[in-house]
Amino acid sequence: MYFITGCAPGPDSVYTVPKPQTRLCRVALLPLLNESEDTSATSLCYRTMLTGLIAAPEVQISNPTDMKNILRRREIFPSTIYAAPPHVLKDIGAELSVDGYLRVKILAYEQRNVGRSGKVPHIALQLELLQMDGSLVSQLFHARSGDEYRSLMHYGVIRTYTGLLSRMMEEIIQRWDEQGQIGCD
Amino acid sequence: MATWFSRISRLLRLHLLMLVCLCCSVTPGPGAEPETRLALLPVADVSGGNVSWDRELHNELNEALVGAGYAMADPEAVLNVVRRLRLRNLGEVGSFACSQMGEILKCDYLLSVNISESTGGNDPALGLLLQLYRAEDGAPVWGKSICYSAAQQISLLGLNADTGLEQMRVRGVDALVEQIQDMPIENMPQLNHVSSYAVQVVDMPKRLLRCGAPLKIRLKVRTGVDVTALYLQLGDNIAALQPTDQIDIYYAEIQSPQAAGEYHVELLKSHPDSGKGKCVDVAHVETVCSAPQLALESSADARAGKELPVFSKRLVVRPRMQKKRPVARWSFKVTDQNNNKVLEQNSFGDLPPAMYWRGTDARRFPLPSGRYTVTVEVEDEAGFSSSADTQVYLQQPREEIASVTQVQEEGKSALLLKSTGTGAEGAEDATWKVYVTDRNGDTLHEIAGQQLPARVELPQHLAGDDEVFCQVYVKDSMGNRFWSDPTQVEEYIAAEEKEESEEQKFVWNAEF
Repeated sequence: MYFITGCAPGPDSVYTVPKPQTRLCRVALLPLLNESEDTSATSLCYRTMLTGLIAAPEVQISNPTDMKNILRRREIFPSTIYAAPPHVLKDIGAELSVDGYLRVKILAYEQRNVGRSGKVPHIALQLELLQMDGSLVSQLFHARSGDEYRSLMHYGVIRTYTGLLSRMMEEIIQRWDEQGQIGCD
Repeated sequence: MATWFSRISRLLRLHLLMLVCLCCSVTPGPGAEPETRLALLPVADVSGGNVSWDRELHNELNEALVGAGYAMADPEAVLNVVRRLRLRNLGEVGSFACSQMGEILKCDYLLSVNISESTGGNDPALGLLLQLYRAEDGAPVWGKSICYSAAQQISLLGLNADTGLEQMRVRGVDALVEQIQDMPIENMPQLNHVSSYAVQVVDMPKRLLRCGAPLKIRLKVRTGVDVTALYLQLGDNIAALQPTDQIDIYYAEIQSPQAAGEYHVELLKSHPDSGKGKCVDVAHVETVCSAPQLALESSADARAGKELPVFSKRLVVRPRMQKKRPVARWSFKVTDQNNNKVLEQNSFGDLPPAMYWRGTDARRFPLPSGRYTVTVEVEDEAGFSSSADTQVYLQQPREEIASVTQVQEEGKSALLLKSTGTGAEGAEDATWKVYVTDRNGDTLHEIAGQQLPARVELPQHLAGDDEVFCQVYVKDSMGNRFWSDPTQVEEYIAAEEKEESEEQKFVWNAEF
């Protein structure tokens, strides 16, 4: 038992700046900004994170394609999403009927060699929960490797990006829910 | 008798009730819930693998869903609607597309399946994403991710390992069907119908308007409701959408507000008099009622003894607008002290933050030292024009570059030139130019060439003039430009009368 718990992922890779007075219910996922070396990471991460958010009962998510269409109409590109002025975010939020946004930066997306287990995926994300006007509710840095979930021998090791990202999203949503930053009455 | 009558009556009522119940169970009545229908969208493969199995997965999954008892929309009909709605990115359906598909296919939910990972090799891995959208309003209501890798499946004794991607796919489809059983289709709350819109600005010539000027806009609007019920609002002004001869393209001309400010162009889903409907923000415009306030900052510096700011090699002019606004066109103009235009540059679009002038004319030949006026004119997108100017003194760098000797030959006055500058001497690609100017700086005679001409003949009418000046300019192979001070040649012409053969020589000295 000690061995199993000793291998469980610890909280050392998670840093948050909580601001618990704001609680978001309906959010929109903004296009991801990819700063990793793998240019193909964006599409997989966006769709997997979206699936995780849709599956979470704690939060409601707006239609992602509507969001993309509005950004395209306003000529706001993913690379400029961090420079979008507050009034623009407010207008988009009103159009989508959302309380806030989830803005994500992919910091690392790679395969790491962990000895006998071979290569496992490693993902590092910077997530920001924003209010409708773009003001920051919570900032979170979350990094995980597939072998952090090892329970015994090779069991528990996550070897797919989809699996790791889904697991990370569960952890992130749970953390935000515990801190009272997301949730619907 | 009464007992028998009551018994028969009761039996008849019971039979009638049974008959009604039987009828209701065969055909649903008007109040019964219809069967929930599901449409499976084409599978999107974002894995980036070389070989995609999206079509096979689509077919297998559709068969599995039908086998599991779901009422499915015809896959061919789904594909036709996807083509008709021009859904370019598979797996991405907006609320408008959802509502359209729901109406056309008569389905309640859309299931989107994405292949996120599909890698072969020694450790095959598979990732699948399921997303369920409500057709009525495009709201995502359920999601699930499924992932497998061969190494994950190995048991303690090394058994149960998948040897290839094909086996992984079979396992993936089984898992998908298993997960789909959890779809909360039956328990979804029924919301009121919300119309969905897809709006795109096709053509809007200006984003900056004069107060009260009309805004002409063309929109691509796709919606399930009657388009004639839609209105465009700018400030307090309302205009109805007019159809054009193009499909889904509508035109509107709407008056802009009389007060300056920033406004939203909004699409109203009903007339404001009937209670303002939900708005779709279409575009932003700004109205202005006056010309822009423009000022210029220059890099020329004040020097003792000079009434104007002086520059020598490069002048940087920074136009400053009191409030930044979109500029349609602008011009940069330089005039000399006689108001002759020596340089003009016109351009369209935004005003650059800085403009540079190297003291040259339009042909890139340096201009003589003197007083110049730099003018910047702008015309904003609303049609308002404004200009600002600044006066500077151009001080060309000077150096001993050539000597000029005046001679009289056969009754004609001529200048003999000889290179004396170290930088320009011997440089074959140096450019020389000799200007003969009047007192006002107007060029009377000029000769240019790759090499310094040995002799410059003065025209006869200039030889007799008592206010003629001569200047020499050279640009060496390194791009350095040198310019001599204007030197009056009248004295030499006067001296010719005394001694025709006497040669006069004058040299320009370096002076920076």
